[in-house]
Amino acid sequence: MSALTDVFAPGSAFATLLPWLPLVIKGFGLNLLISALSMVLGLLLGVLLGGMQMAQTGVIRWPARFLTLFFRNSPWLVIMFYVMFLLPFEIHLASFLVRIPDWIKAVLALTIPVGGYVSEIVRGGLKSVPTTQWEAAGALAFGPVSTLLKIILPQAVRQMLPPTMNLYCSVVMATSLANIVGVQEVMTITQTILSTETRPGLILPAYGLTLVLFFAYVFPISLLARRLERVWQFGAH
Amino acid sequence: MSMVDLWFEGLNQRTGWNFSVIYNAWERAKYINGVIIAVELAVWAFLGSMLVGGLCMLVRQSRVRPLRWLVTVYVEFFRNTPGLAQLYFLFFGIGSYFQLSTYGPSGEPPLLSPFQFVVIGLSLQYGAFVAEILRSGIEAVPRSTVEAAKSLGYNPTRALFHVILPLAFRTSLPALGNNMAQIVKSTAMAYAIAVPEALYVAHEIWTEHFNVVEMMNVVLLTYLGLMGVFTLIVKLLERWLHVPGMGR
Repeated sequence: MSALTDVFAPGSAFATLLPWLPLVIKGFGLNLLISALSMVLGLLLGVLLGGMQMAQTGVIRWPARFLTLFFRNSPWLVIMFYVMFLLPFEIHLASFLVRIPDWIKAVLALTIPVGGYVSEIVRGGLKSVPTTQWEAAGALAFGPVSTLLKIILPQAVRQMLPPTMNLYCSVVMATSLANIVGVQEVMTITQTILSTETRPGLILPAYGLTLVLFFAYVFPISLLARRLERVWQFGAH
Repeated sequence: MSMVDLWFEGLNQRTGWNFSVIYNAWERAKYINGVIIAVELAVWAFLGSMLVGGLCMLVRQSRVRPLRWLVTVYVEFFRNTPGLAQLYFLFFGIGSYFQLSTYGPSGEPPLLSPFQFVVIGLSLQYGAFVAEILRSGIEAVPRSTVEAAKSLGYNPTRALFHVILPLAFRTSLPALGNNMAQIVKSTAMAYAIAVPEALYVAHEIWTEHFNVVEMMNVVLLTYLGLMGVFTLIVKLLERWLHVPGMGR
């Protein structure tokens, strides 16, 4: 019992960290915002690229294939640097000066690899539907668009949703890379706290806290993805 | 000075595109060294993750339930937290707490270098992924094969090493190849704790010459090249270990 009270006693590491907790949570909120926005934008980009990868004509297919491979095979951190340093931090729109906050640039940076991964998920999902389904829909006089929307997608979604959820988990975890380029997300805030509170014993629990925050958010999602994967696999056979 | 150097120096004078990393011998040597360090990180981390993942796989075969739970906790924790946070926790947290990464009170050098910390961090992170890959590989071995091995008088350990693992390893190869690719990309994270790998060296170069655009492109191409090489190796390995009659 005394060990437990010691942990929360005044002057203990936890007692020192407690007042900082709202700030840490706020920082983590920025991580979640970045992850959600870049996931939405990445989905748009990826569905577009994935659809183009399935095109009949090579002129559309090959650039999409190239971009997908390019986006998937570049390190997230390098893309993060790329976007951070090459996008302007302010734009002149007529007489207005629009400042781009660095976290928006982090969103754009994460959108690129997400788009690449989504593109492959879409391609894999569409390919998992047997060709005969396309042919049957054609024979029943469905057009290409309505075949895709009404016949193929409802079947492909089961194949695509679990990997997309896993990808979202990766995106949430990748938001911590924004720390290296100075965005005020949870890791940066933790570093700031650690440089304010000059206590060497604080480093371990402070970084432990960020790990726990990420785990508490990501683990349920990845569990759900795994369950869906299992359930839908059985349903398909 | 070779033709290439002269051409790139001329390019700088004509257009302002400053690829100093190509014509400046000092920076070229530094950058090549950075790429070598990135490769070394990737190879060591790959070996480490295979070791950790293999150990987890063996422990999961044991009958002692708490041991299996322990492995599950480890795997889930490392799969569901950011690699960078893990690295900071290891390097700044564990490292300074046990004085592995800091100088001792009377000036003893640190026990582990940042390079070694990155290798340990990546091994632990990707070891968790390897453990999962090997588990699904083992699950993919048909029950009938395991039963056939048993009826031929193999005891569980021998069946594992002579029948199940060779098959499971082969089915796991594509996933292990993906894992290798992830590791190569993750080595860029070493930048955060000042390991002089490709990205870090590039940063040093562009702070000196303000040639961010050129260096970013060089870095990107470097990583794409590395990924290409490693993907090729995995493809060759897959072909070499191919089980006749399985797949195409």
